[in-house]
Amino acid sequence: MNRTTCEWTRELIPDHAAGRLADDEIALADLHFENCDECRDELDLAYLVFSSRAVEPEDLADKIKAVVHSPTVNNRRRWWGLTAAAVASLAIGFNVILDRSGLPDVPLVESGFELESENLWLTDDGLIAGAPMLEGLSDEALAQLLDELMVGTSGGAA
Amino acid sequence: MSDDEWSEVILSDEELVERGKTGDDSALGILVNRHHGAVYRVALSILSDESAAQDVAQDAFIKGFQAMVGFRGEASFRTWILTIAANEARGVIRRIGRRKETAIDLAAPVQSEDKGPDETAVIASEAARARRMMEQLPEKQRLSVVFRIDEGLSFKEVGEIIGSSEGAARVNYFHGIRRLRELME
Ligand SMILES: [Zn+2]
Repeated sequence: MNRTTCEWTRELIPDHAAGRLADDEIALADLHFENCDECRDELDLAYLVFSSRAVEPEDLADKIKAVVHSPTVNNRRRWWGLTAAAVASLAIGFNVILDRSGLPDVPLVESGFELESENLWLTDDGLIAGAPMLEGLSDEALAQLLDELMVGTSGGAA
Repeated sequence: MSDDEWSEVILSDEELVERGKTGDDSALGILVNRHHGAVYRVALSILSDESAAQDVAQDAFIKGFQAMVGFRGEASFRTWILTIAANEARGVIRRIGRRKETAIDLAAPVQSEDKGPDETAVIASEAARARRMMEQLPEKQRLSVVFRIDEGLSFKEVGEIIGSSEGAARVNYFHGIRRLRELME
């Protein structure tokens, strides 16, 4: 069997097994399977793998949404956004460039597993260095800090 | 069709993320609807423990949404949330030391018109055996196979989640498949 055709087909096998291919791709791949036992066997195996994938519990989405939309998490999320804005302002004020690119760092905190609903706040993800240092501030103190930062950046470091 | 149902159909993940950043809870709910299954399976493939995988799925969304202000779309939202889930699950492994083997609810093979009940039962049995055999693969090979076949992730996405290059993810996948074929013989 033509090696290039096998390579092309093997790239499609996972999506073929899972029913994710368009009809014209299925037709082309099936033509190849008729004459290539090697690729056919790989398709059969991929089908077994896909058939045995785990199914999520029916109520999982509702459980997640209930927690995500809970007042505690909502407040934390909005407050975190404010904190991040404060840190960004701080960075502008001191001409600091923060590295916040792309995906989260690979080794995230190990705290998630045992979280209970009354203790949902997760600490530093490493996304914005130093942000948790502001965690102890009240909303009023934070607003004051933001005011000061606004003054600092508008008056400042040219 | 309600506004939420309409949003569920037409809005991209990126648009939902932007709405989520402004406090739109329904947008976050749609993101959960779209991705919770994959998030759960990613966690389960690392933990082999359904209860722990559900906890990790929940924590991944909480953490992802809390950090959303830092999400700027260099990667897709799916890759972002799956990476968080994988990292959370690895954190659990580091804390409790080892994976716990449990019986897992598997999808039933689709019964097609050209397969009778007997053949469907044989396929179900073989499928369950394949999944057990996958436990013997090295982790990156196993995860590459799971993410590519179960979730339809590209090798680039697989690489981002397992911390490898796209090429290494592809190699891990094909080595994993070849090894699995040997184990199934
Ligand atoms: Zn072939």
